[in-house]
This record gives sequence, structure tokens and C-alpha cells, in this order.
Amino acid sequence: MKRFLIKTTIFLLFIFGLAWALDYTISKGLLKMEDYRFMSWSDILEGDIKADVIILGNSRGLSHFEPWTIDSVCGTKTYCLGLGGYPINVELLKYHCYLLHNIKPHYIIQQVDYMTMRMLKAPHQHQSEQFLPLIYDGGMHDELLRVGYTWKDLYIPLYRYWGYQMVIKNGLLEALGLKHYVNDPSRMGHHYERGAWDGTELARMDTIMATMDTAAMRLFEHYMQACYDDSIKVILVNSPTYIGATNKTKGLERVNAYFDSIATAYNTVYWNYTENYDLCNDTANFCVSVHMNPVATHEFGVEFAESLRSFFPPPL
Amino acid sequence: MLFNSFEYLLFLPIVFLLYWFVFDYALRRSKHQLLWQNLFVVVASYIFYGWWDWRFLILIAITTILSFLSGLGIEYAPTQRGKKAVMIANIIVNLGILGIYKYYDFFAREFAELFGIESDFLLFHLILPVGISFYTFQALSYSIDVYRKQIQPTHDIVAFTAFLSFFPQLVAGPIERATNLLPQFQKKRTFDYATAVDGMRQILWGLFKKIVVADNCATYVDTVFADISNQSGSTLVLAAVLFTFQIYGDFSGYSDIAIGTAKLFGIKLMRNFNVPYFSRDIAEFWRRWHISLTTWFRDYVYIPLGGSRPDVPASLEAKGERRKARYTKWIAVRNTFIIFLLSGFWHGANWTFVLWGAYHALLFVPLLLMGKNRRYRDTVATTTLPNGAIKTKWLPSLKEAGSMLLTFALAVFGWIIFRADSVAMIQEYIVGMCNSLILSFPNTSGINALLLNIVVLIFVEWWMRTKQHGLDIRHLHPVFRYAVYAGLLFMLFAFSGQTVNFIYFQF
Repeated sequence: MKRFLIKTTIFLLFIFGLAWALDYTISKGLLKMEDYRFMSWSDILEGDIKADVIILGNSRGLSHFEPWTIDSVCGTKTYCLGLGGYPINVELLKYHCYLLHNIKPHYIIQQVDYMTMRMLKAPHQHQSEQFLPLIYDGGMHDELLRVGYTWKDLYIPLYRYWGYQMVIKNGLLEALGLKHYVNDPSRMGHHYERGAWDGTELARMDTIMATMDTAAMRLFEHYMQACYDDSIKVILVNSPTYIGATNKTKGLERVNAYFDSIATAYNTVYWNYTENYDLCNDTANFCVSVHMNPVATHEFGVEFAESLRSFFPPPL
Repeated sequence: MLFNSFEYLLFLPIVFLLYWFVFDYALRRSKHQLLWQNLFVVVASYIFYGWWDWRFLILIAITTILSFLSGLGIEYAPTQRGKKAVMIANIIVNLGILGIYKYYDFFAREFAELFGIESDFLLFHLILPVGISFYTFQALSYSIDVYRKQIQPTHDIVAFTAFLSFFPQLVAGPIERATNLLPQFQKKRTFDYATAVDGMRQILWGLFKKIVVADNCATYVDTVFADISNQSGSTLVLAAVLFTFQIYGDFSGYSDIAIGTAKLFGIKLMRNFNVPYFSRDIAEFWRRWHISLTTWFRDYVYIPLGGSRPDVPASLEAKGERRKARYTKWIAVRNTFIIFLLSGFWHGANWTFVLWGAYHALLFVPLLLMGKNRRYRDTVATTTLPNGAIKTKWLPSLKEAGSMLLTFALAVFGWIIFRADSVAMIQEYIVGMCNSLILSFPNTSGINALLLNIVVLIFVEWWMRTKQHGLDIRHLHPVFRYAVYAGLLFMLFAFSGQTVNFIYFQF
């Protein structure tokens, strides 16, 4: 029995050490990839962004606002922190990570829409792999626990990578220098949605429900208050959505009224581009109902930047 | 609690350490040491089982008490008729519980459909307790064996409860016989280093089969079965083959983990799989697949019904050898159909399982009638030397390879019937397979690694086909052994897919 226990323990300790090394290697490898899911995290952790304006939000925040267009029109330094996925708790995780390593911005362009006021556990959401390399940032542990990770994810090596076969493979190959992934890279955190119009998903849905979660609203208001206290101006923007989807969405009045009320309460604005806006009327401007294609994104970006400049006159 | 869950990863070492250190070593001078150790097994097993739903512990407790009392009843009944009545009563009650939970809604729905009446008010909508078919059959085997005087009835309810609820095999077998497992709980277990290490190896191999092979097959198979009409014939064929490996990896993987775990506790469970896909005909396949269930039906249904050598009624004795032979064959065929249909229905309340049973009966009967059903008793491509040792060949002969391939293909076809949700789905699948695109290249996107891992599985099982399990590598050099362990652990991690429940839990 003694022999069995000693041998088993030594073997398991060896395996544990190996697992830790593998975990570290994969995580570092992922952050080296030129892939939009990981590139902005890598920039954030390096702590050298120094942006006046940051863009925050879901995948629409990630793809609808071109930082370089805003910079050229407004003379700012802008960086995009939008992410694949949509719940507010996960969006704010990225913002908190940003604040841990970078100087605070003066302005935040916050993409908001009918999907924003929801809570979802990060490990269960779309593109959840983007959070995996973050575990080595000790300052993020509390935040990660808050968005649904558990102590097992944080302290048991490789545990959180369970089931992510491609991510493991890519991370390892990248870390070992066997392959460099240049796959959908981002530029200043921004990433375009590409592709011709695909209305399949929209056609499948009779109604889209705009729901607002109370806990999400509380979290959002807490964030708005914190920004207000820190003198960070948060501009709420609902970027263009194809009109066909807007018409199918129930409960939008409540959502828009809520963002209007928040804008008033925190002395800012809520710009809603989903109604009475030309770009919204033509499927040619969209890949899917909630994502504009690059041409329309640029067109919107120029107009948006002009509005931003007129709202915040130089020197911004 | 799933074997491939984090909870089990904590549960197993804790139970192991308490079992050997507290309830064995620390109590070694207590005259009740065995009692305490068995009691601990019971508590651990009930925690393991109650992890799903504690309410079902009541059911298993009822089955335990009734079967225990039936043993005593059989012992103390003054007449043979009384003993038989007690045994039959126990069978009726246990099968009654199983029937209500597993089959009642099915029959009520069929009844309502037959008579065109609304079925909703007839249905109970009961949740099927995990592993109910397994422990019920184990309980039945006890009272039948006591009645047949193959085992003495036990007076130790703790040992009996441990026998019926032993957590490694509680929810998906192997379905143990009282004659094998109960005596092991009635005597002191001693820790054996070699057995424990072998148990660990078997657990590791079981996890490989489950996590690397079965769970990854499940992703592909589920996608194809959910959208049969949009798949090419060749993709449907590939999905059927992958399901063949999924169900094998899933169930034999579970059995390996169960047997390996039991070894850690000094308990030897019966073998449940013996490289079934290397069988040369369907009869051999059934001697190697789910052995504990097959032998259960053989011993408790087939043989009591007369098996393949029934008693010939006196009325036929005078009517000549041909009539007698014809009668014997008829009874053997009837009995074969009965056990295959029952075996199919045991898997679940759906006509697809009955069809699956019938399909295998149809494949088995010709062998039976030609007297070739016991042709292959050895392992393929092996020779038994005069000293009893078994010599393995690297490759099978052409004939053996052909037989194995044909048997495998027949098994694959059977698994389509088994996997389908309805008879209409079976039809859709088979028609889909036969479309013109059967000669096209199947959709293999994202499964290259899986296909490679299946090749690894086949290679290892072939190489180790005469051993107890695929990782019986005790004779290899330690450096190589540890490299294999580390390599397998890495594969478990690197090829982990979605965590899928064990298929046989639903039975």
C-alpha cells in the first residue's frame, strides 16, 4: 500500500507539473496568435494602449466602429475593446482588465442594444476561448470568478482548456514556434465582419424578444456611475441594424427608453442608429441582420466620427 | 456522479484512502472490521448514486430489502412450493418496479394509439432512475441463485447491500452474480499492489475509450442523425461506423473504469467485453459483447426455457427421431428469439430496440440451425500451445479477416437500428444510405484526429486481444510504461470533446 501511494503520488505530482507547464505554454501561445479573439487581450496585458477613447461592447462594438476613422476625424487615439459575445458582465470583464494594465480613457463609446442587458456565464458564451489565457493575470481572478469561472478553472492546470481541441492545438503550435497563425487579425482591437448577406437566421425567427435582466441593469448602472465618478464620458450608441430585424423585435421601446433615461441620468447621450437611418434599409449593407459589412461599416464610421467631433469639439 | 467528472476525481481517492486506512488498517483489531468496511462501501455507494437524485435511493433500498428478505424467505420456507412462491414474488415485485418506471408509459401510449384514445391521462411521466435495469437484474439473480441452491442466502444485510449497490458497477454494470460478488463482501479484502496498479491502468484505458473515442464520435454521430435527409449516403455510412465505435468506447470504457475501480478496492468484477469487433460471426460477437447481460439471459431465461437441448415431451418420444429433432430445433429457435427480443427490450421502451433484438436473432438462428454457433470459442489469430499458453499471430488469415469484416458490417447495420429514435428514422437512414452519393467521399471535416484515434484503439485492442484489457502492459519496461501513461493522459486532455453521459445509463 505504501509503495502504491508513494508511486502514485510521485507520478501525479509529475503529471501536475507537466500540466502546469503545458497550460502556461498554450496560454502564451494563444496570446502570440494574430487572431482577433486574442490580439486585443495581448495588447491589454502589455499595458501600452494609452487610448483617449475606447470602444466597448459586444460583437457589434467590435466590428462597427473603426478606431482609425475616429482618430483621423477627431484627432484622438482610439482602441476597440469590443468582443465576440454579448452579455454586459463579459463586456465589462474586458474593461476591468484594461483598467488593470492601462491608463484610464477620457471617453468610452459604449455599443448598446437589445442584447446588452443580459448576463451570461463567460465559459458558456460564444467565443469563450478568448478568456482562457487570462488566468495568468492574478489581478483578474476576482473578475473571472464573477463572470462564471470557478476555482477549478483558476487553480487546476489545463482544467479550463477541457474540450477546446483546436485552441489547444493552435496554442501549442504557436508557442513552440511550429506555426504562426495569422487568422482574422484585428487592427487596434477592431475586427470586420465579412461576407455577403445571409438572411437565413432572420427568416427562421418570427419574433425577436428584447429582454432586460435586472441584475444586468444594476451592473450597467454601477459601471456608468463609476465612469461618471472618474470623469469618463460614456457615449451610448446603438449602431445600425437591418430594419427587417428591428421590425421583428418586440420590446424595443422599453430598451430605448431605458438607455435614454441612463443618458439623462449621467449627463451623456444615447445615439440610436437603428431607426430612421438609411443604411438600415438595405440588406446590401449587412452580412447578417445585426452586423454591417466593411463598406457600410466605413460609411457609418465616417458619419459617426463627424457626429462625435461635433459633439465633442476640438481639442478632443 | 459521472466517472469522467471532476466530482468523481475527488470522490474516488477519498473513498479509497478511507476504505484502506480507516476501515481496514485502523480497525484491523476490531472484530467488526468487515462490517464497518462494508458499511462504508454502502455509504459511499449511496452518495455516488444519490448525486444524481437522492429520491431514487429509496427505490434501490426497497429492491435491496425485498431481495434480502426473499433470500431468507426461500431459506425458511418449509416446502419447495413455498420457496418457489417467495422467489416468484420477489421477481414480480422487482420486475414490477422496473416495468412501471421503464415500460409503463410506453405500453400506455401504444394501448391508447391502438384504441384511438387520448393517452395523456394514462401516462405517469416518470423519470427513469439511472441504472435501474442493472441493479434489478442483479437482485433477481440473487434470489434465483438462492432458490437453485447455487448460493447460501446471506444473513448479513450490510454485505448484501454492498453487493447490490457497489458503486463502480451500480449504474451500468457489469451485472454481477451473487455467486461471484457477494462472497467477496463476506470475507476480508487485502490490498494487492499488482491488482491495484492494474486497476489504475484499466481505468486509464477506459477513460481513453470514453473521452477520446466515444465522446468525439458522439459529436459527429449526433449531428448526422439530427439531419439525415441532408447527408450523403457515404456520410451516413461513416456515421453508422462511428456510432459503432461510440457505443463500444462508451460502454466498454465504462466497464473498464468500473472493473478497474473495483480492483482498487480488492474486488474482482466479471469481464463485460472481450474485443467484440474482432468476432468472426454473430454468435461469437454475442459471447464477447455485454457478456454480463448475455450470460444473464442465457442462465436465467434461455436455459430454463430449454435452451437448445429441450426435454422432448413424452408424446413425441414414439414419433421418430426426425420429429424429435424438428421439435428440438423449433424450441431452440423460439428460445433464441425470446432472449434476443427480451435483450433488445431490456435496453429501452422503444420498438427500435425490439427490432434490433429481432435483427440479431435473425442473424444468429442460421448459425444455430447449422450447428455453427459455437464454432469460434477461441480468440482470433491465436494458437493454443500444448502447455496451454496462447500464441498470438501478428495478422489474421484472409478468411478470418473476411469473417471479421462481415461480422463488423452486420453489427454496424444493427447499430443503426439501435441508435434511431423511431422505426421511421431507421427507414429514412437506410434509404439515405442507399442513395447515389454512397460512392462519394464522406464528410470528414474535423474528424481526422478522431479517425486516427480509432486506428489507435483498433491497433491496441488487436495487440492486446488475449489480455484482460487494452492497457495490460505490466511486462513492459517501466520507462515505456510511464511514457504510455503520460501519453494517454495527454491524449485525454488534447482530444477531450463535449462531456457526454454514458449511453447505458439510460437503460
